[in-house]
Amino acid sequence: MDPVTLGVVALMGAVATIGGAAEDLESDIGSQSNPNSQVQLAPQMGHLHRMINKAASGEPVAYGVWCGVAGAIAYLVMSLGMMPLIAIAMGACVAAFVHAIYTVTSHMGRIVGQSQFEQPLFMDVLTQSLGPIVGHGFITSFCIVGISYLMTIPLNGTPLHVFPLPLLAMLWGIALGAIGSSTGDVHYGSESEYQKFEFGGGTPVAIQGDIVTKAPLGAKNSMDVVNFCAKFGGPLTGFCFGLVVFFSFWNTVVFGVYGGIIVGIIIVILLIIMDNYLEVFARNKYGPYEEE
Amino acid sequence: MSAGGSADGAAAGAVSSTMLLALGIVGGLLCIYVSGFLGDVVGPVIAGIGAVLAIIWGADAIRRVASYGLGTGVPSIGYMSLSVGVISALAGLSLATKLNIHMLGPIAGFVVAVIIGAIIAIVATKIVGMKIPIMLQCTIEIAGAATLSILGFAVAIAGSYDMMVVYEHVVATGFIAVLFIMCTMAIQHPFNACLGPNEDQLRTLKCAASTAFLSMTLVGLMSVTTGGLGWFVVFIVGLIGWIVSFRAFVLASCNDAASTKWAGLWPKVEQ
Repeated sequence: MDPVTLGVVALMGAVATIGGAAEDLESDIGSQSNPNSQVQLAPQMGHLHRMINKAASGEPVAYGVWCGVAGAIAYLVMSLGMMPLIAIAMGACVAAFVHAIYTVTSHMGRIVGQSQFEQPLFMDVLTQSLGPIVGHGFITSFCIVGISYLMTIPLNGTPLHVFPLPLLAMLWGIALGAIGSSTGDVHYGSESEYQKFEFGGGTPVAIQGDIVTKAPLGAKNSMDVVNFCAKFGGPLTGFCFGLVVFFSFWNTVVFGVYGGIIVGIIIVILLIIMDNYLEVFARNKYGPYEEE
Repeated sequence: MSAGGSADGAAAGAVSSTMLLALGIVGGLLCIYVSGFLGDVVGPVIAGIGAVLAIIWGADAIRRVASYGLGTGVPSIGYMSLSVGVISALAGLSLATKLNIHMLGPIAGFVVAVIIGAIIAIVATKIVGMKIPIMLQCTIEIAGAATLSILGFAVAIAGSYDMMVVYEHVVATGFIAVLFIMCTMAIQHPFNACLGPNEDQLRTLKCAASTAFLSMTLVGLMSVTTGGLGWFVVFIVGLIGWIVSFRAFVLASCNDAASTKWAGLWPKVEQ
């Protein structure tokens, strides 16, 4: 076991945790992924709203693009001799710019696509939410390209991964998007958007679009959703992604290639047992969802 | 119906899909081939414009197939087709190198894409059982557009469609992965972003032009280290194209919106 490599792996896990949390919160502001189509349906259900409808595809493709672009620009700037930290920040800046453009086109496109239901295009909603969306996106791209870069630098002669930086950044961006979409969704804007429905019922197709559009004071907006999600949803997603990154490398660094595979299988089995226990516990404690 | 899908049926539009198809195939291929004769500065720009034409064609094909209610499947078909695009583009260029006929590369890539696209569509309709009448045609079209967009941008970065040059500047550097995901987004995003009962083909195509030119701008940046001033010209042309098309999209959206407001609440409407 090499302590320096292990330290780098731990650092990667920590950075990935921050990136994962920022990714989930960004998608909460933008109503991306699962609830996005439901916000889209709200005007048809008679609920005009002041929410952002950022339908820049699903999170995996979107984060593949932002992180891939950030990785490509960082790779280029580094090849021109710039310091890696500055290069990664420059890459994340360009990615943030691209992110902002896609946010504007998707929000405007989807709102205008509902114009027959008298849904106004609120420009102030867009301008107010754009900063937080792009800011969280910047943090995420920076973190993902950062961990990808750590994978490519040779530690004691061999890097953790042989792929070039842009390819790694894109792959980890897709992985993060998938984790943000699957883990974050559970604690997602949908709980905030559908708070009038009983907890535990999920969001069946019949209620999609039947969202809450008013807040305790004034209209509910996307910033209310992210405030709601920031306590558990974002950190949990970050924790999940951080663990994925950490356990992707920790076992092989500590136990070698073959030992690492065996340890990896043991970790997967333990996780299955823990998940099953958690689900059984939650269902026994809170009861199954019952149709009235 | 899909969540937020525009309508369960063939999408009509102001611009003929045949014209866009011709523009994508002929324009795309022509630009890629012509770029080889125009030197290091103008050549990459022409190749980039070929990719832009292919993306606009691909976005229209996505619009036609997705209007049958694909909904969340819009990004998926884009993803799938672009993977066909990457494989076909590299297969075409490799085939040309093997046969030692470099001119064959782009067209061979396009033919491979058509074949793979057709096989995927047949599997989707006959085995998976998707009931979309234009699935075969549209999957072939999207796969073809994907290949030409990847090829166009790869040539813009590498400056040639010779496999070894493309390998050195696009594949080995990992840019091929960025091209894959960037073109996926550029092709699937316009319809995905604009869908709804009031989706309009012209507005969607303006969005497609903006995503395509944005990708071209980024490709300009990616070709910085290839050498010459070509990267700067690609970057500037892409940026100007993006500003024009993005402005057109924003203006069209503001005009077509039920109302555009900078503050306040929504109007009261009869339930």
